[in-house]
Amino acid sequence: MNNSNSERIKAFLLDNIVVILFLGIAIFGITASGGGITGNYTVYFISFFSELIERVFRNSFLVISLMIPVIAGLGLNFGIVIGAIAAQSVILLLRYHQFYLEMSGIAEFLLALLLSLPLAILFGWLTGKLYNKVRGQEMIAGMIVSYFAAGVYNLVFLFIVGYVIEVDKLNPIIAPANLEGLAVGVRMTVDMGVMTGAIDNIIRIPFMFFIMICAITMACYIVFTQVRKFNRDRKVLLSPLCALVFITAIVVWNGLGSMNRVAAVLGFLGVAAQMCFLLYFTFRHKRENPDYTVQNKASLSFNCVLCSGMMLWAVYNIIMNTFMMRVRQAPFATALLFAVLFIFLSYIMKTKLGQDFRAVGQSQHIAEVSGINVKRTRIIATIFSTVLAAWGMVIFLQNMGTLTTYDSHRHVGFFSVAAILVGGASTSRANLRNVITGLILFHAMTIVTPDIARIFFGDTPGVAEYLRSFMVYGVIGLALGLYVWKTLKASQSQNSL
Amino acid sequence: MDTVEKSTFSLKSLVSRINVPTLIVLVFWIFIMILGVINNVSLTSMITDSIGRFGALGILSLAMVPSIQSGTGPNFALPIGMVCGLLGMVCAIQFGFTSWGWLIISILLSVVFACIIGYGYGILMNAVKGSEMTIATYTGWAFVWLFSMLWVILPFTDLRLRLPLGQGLRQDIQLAGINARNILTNSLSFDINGIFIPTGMILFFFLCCFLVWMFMRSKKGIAITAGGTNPMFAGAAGLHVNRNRIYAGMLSMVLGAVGTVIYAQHFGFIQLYLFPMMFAFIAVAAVMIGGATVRRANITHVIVGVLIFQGLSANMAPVANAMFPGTDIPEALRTIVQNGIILYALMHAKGGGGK
Repeated sequence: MNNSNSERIKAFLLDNIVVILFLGIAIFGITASGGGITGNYTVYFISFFSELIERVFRNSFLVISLMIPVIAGLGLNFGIVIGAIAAQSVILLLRYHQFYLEMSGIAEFLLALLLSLPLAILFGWLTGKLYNKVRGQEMIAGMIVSYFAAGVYNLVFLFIVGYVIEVDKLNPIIAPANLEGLAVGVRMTVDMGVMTGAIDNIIRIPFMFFIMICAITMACYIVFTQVRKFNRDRKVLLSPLCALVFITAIVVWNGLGSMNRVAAVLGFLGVAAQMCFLLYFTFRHKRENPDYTVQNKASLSFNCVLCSGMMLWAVYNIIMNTFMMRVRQAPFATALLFAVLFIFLSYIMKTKLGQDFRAVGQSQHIAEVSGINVKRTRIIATIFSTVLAAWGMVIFLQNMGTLTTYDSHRHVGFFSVAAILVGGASTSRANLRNVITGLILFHAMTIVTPDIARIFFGDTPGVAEYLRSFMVYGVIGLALGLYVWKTLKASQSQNSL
Repeated sequence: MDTVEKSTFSLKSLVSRINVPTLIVLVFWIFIMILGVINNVSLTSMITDSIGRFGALGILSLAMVPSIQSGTGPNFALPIGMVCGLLGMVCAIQFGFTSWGWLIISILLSVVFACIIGYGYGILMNAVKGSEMTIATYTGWAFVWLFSMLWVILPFTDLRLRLPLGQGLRQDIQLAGINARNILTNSLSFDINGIFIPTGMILFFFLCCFLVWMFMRSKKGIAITAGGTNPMFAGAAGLHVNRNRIYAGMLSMVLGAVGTVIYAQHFGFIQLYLFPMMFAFIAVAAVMIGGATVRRANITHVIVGVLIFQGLSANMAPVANAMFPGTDIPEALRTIVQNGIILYALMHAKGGGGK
């Protein structure tokens, strides 16, 4: 028993080595930084969480877009750069015409989402066809094809726009005329104009309110998933309904702008209600089926403790009106969009299509034999990924406020891949938990690297950027390498048996 | 009737012998040269540029041969070898060598560094069989970023290396300062009607090719190839497949390091920091254009591929500048050709890498 326990711990550590490593780096960075440049932890934490919340939602769609290809056995889709390129092309087109049309920010944003959809589907379809031709080497092919696509993109926007296609020289996104009086190509940086913050700034709520809402959502998720296992009754739907009521109440209360304490109480009641649901359903089920025991106790209790902890932390900060209330407000509308996507993807994975993804990911051969069109499924997975990446890029850019025409897309693939790997995903296993853990941990890491660089190398300029990139590329190499090594070792030990 | 059949047969065999992408890129290169001549770009300078780049970048592409033959696939971790070359050159300057002494000591030091690091790299590649290409790419990049940090903090003291103000090494280290600019390029060189032939450098490249060719024909080399073609069979025949893969990785890294020294002396300065980042793709694309696949490559592929691809890259810039002044298309075009060709090779690879 003891032996198996220690083995289980060992296996757990090996499985989660990357997550643990990065958690360690983030914690080390925060503690050793001594409060950053100002040397004041209050200021440091305020800026840390403000940065974190912005970055997490800026990159959320991009990172989640990697999930489906992993499940479908394509590995990490470095080709999401192509989705980003689709989005950027559409945004450049819109920015060009915006000069004459003068749409509102949100209209332009929605139009960008709408127009990038067909383009991303087309690109995703082509990428998927390519992946079918390079089975087993999708990752390197994805990387190379993204460089290829970037080359075509550069050719179009540096040369064809202006040289082949007539453009208005006075348009602010077109590069100023050169010595020959030719206005060729798009500027290096394009301002996003009214699209800046088009969705982020619709509703912003205080960070602590947001944490409270997260706690309620998480509690509801626990109840829903846990109770669904034994109860197919409609009554379970009471739990999300109740969560929805409380969240709306908090948001509305925040909009009215009075009495934070009431909102804190609402948050507390929201989580408490969910816990009551959990207890009620479990006990009722246990009364009806006396031999029922709760499975996966460890993760269930961990989740419960985590969400109650989040709630208590928020309630404390709100009631005591601590410095945490000065953290930058969270983009609620973007979060809502992310939540919708989250639910949508959870739903997709339960449909026939989702099962096909899983089957193909498990074994292409068995999937083929059992009548699944493997090639088609893989193409659909790539299209999903590319479309989500395109939308993710639109969200990313509306948050950034400027489009670096020839650079914005370049790092998208690597940073998103690093984020999902930091969250504990591998080339064949990724879930929504990996996405969220990765988003938070990876961006915490990128925020604290300048501090770590300062501790080790002093105030030399540039080193922080080198260290950050070293970590990004190092983590991808390490995570992929460890995974392949583990798989090889497992297959070897199987062979020797 | 007979003759027609004969001619179609020979055409068929010719087409099957000459790779389609080789032909396409060759035609593209000639087309660019013709465009250049039409637009008053001097043909002699175009040929000089092509030959210069051919000599300067040849060895970097040659580094792909042992790694492809050993079954690890193209060496996408070439930046690691290149960083060893940079380190060797910087150390040689630090130790006070100049001119030919610098060149020889640089090469020796880089070879030593590359052997040590190549050994570790070989072990890594054995641990990740099946996904070598992706992991090699990342290891290579991580190594470049690691050394970018180290260039800032390593305790080099020579003033020709350090930034005049602040900490760390210069971005570009001029080799004119140690009389080593074009040292190999200019040796034994001559002009024919304005076409500059860097005989020393070309000869050195051919010498490397010859050595690799000899090595691949030696007992060890054949064992490496056997391990790459069919690892199960080679293992059953009593060959140490994993150990041979390590040797091939080391040789590849050594060639990468030596190639960097040659490259630096040709262009007259050592570029530190992010310079090696994308070189693996350039080197791989050149071999692929020569007709290599991710499973098989030989010296002919290297020589043909490097000549065509580097000739094309060298000539695209002046021609594009003459035709479309003020635009920036050569880089985009080169990226398209380079990555297009690697994709083509990946698509036509049979099976995964290294399995």
